[in-house]
Amino acid sequence: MSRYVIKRILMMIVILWCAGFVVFTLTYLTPGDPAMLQLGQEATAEVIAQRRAYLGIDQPYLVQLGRFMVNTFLRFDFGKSWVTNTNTMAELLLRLPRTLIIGLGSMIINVFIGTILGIIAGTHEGKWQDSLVMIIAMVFVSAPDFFVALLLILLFALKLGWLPPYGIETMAGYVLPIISASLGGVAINARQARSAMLEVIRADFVTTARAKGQNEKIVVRKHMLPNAMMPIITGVGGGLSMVVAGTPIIESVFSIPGVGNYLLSGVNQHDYPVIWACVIFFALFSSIAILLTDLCYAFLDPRIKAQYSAGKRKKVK
Amino acid sequence: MKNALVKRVIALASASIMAFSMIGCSATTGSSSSAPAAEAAPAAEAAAPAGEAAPAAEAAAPAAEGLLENGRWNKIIMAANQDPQDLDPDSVNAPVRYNMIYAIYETLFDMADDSSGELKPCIASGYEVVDGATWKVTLRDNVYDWEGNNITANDVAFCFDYIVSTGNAVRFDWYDSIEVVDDYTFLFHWKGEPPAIHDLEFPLSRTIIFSEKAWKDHGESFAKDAVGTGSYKVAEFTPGSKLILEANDDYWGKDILDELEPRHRQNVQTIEFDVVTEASTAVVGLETGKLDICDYVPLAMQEEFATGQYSDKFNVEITVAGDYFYLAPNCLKLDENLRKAIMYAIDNAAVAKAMGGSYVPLKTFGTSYYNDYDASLELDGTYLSDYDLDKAKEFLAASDYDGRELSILIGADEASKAAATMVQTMLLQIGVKSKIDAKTQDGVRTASTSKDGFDIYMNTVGGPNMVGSWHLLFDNEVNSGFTTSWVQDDQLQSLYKAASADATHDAAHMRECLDYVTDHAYFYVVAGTSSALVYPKTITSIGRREGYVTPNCSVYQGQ
Repeated sequence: MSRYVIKRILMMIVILWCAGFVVFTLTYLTPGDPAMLQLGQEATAEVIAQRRAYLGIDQPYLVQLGRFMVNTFLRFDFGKSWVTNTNTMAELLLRLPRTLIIGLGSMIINVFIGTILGIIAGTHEGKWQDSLVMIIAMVFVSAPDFFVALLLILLFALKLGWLPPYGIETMAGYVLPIISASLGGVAINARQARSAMLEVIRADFVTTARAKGQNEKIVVRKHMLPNAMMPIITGVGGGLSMVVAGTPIIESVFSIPGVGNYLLSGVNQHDYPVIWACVIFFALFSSIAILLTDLCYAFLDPRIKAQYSAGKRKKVK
Repeated sequence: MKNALVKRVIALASASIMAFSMIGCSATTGSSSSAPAAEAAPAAEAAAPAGEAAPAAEAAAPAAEGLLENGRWNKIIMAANQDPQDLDPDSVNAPVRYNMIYAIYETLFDMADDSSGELKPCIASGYEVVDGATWKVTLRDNVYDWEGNNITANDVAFCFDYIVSTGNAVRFDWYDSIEVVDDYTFLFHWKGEPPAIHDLEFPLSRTIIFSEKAWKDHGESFAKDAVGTGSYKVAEFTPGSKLILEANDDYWGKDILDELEPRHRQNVQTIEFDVVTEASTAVVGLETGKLDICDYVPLAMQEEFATGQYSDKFNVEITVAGDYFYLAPNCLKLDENLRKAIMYAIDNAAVAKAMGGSYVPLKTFGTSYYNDYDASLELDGTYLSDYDLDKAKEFLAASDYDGRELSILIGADEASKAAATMVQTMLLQIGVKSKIDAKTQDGVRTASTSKDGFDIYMNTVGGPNMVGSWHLLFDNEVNSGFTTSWVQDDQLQSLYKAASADATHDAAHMRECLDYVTDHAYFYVVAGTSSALVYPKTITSIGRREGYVTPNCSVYQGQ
């Protein structure tokens, strides 16, 4: 198992190098001149040339790429924003906790409520509970984030006065963004959990358990749920890697200075160091999240654990 | 009114279904009900029917309350629709930050707050023209930043070198160098004799002056932890969220505030700028009492503040901005008859309407916002006021138009797209085919500076005054000898120079220039922008700098 983890960590380094190369090349190939964009339409060609030289984007591709790879992966220097002149990684880490609160908060809601709704729907297939859950899921998945966010602001901030309409001065400011960001995920998780439950509900081992006279609740909890968890965990793993990317629309509506907003402003203003830092950070976080997901598989599924053990035994032989 | 009520009830019903079905099972229910704001909301109000629910603003305490003993208003919270991002003094061309950054930093001179284009002393006490291309500038000897650093001529030279070395010296066309004479005197060497003061606007009144020592002491944290000479200090800055400024009690100019421009006043103790990018969220912020001032309330939503349920708390002013949308036909590709056909075929009132509720049609190249605007500059009897399809068809018949598809180059924003779609439809009425070429800002720049980059080009323009906004339109220096519409016309240049030179800058010369432009169909004006400024009734006079609301020089009840 430990060899597997070490192997995956080594692979992660290669993935990060590849991500760095790809994101740098893509931004290099993107049409448009960052200097021109930053200085506005009143800047002369001479001033634009000066700015390009200052940013170092007047040099050949290989020189720029080499400098970027060395600075990023050998010196761990992600550079300064071309617009704000601040350290990109420091700024990203400053914003990360706000994004994590929203991301993890909405993920917890997604997983718990989505899974519970999915189980209810799956175990009541064709009944009114199933229809109700699917209707709710349909509404949640169809409603755009920003629309839901505005409705929630109208209700909870304006009409009821319970929560602030924007800002993060207190933790109360996070409630509406978390709810707004989680509705789509609840729907997706509910549908996924329902499908997974329906797959195992007719499995032989479930029929056997029922034939033995097991209580239905025990059948669901001990036999169906652990087997239905695999696709749910896959979804959670994927979702976890998205958590740090933030939700730019939600952050924008609620004026939350998070990572999503930071990346969005970097893209809009061709502030490439911001894009590079964000993408490499996302790649690192995603790699770790996927590794953890795989380890969870091994923990939950004895067959996968056996594969690791078998590999180890084979090696020992 | 009834429709609005129905809409709101439907909106609330939808929100209730979604929110309560969620919250019914949610683990976060507790946290929402235990929020501090919840305590202020009476249960009866929560239970009241949606349409009759009392506004939360009544329950919430006002953000700013009364005068302090020092005569300043306690606190004012203003919405900012864009993130200032940083407080770095290197960017001289970022209008979004004007009312924030120029409260903490200062410049050598101020362009008069009344948009007259007059130069007023600030850090510099005055200047003397040694010869046309050399100015001798004298600094005040008592200017200190809030860390106690005295500003000297060496600091000024450092700031100019910094701006130039970072490639941010926008509109420094006339600037050549600075020569320090002594601690408080230096020489500006221009590249020639500047024709008008507004040609020196950026070096003189946009370039921020700060202490070299403070800059070196703070390093890169200066962008967030700024040190300026202004009448306000930074108390808290969270990029993307808020900027809180506190009146600087040690302000160097506090005893001569009457001599300085109004923008330096300290009428408020604390100014908070909250970044709220969504106008609808800002409107709720005003309604709930979380915000005091918002200058980008959509016109469609201003009624409830002007005459509706919040009219007892707020004043509303409809403001016209200086910037306006223009059309530039490519004069190298379109002959004069075709240009006139196109312009007579466009109804700018309809285009402005299509662009949304914040746009108004214009009849001249500028708006009433500018100090040098004059009613005599309204171009009645031209294609800007007369939408005439018959005339358009006549000009088209006389033109060399061969049925080709014309490209309309625009930015990728929604207003431009809506305007271009309407123009495209109108051109089709006279049989001119066109396609819309929407690009990002830098893509537009690249295409617009290429002779083959467009047939018709739409963009916005603005300036320190009306004639200043013409620089990007009529001045052939912007495009290597051509105007933005690819015109090379000596007569136009001579008329533009006469209108913009300080000595002959008057309505008669401006009108002469505009008549020439419309006679040759060199440009077209589409629309200007207007929005609603909503501010509390406790402000008796709203302060502005170059159109941007400045809470520190607004006058409050009791002052």
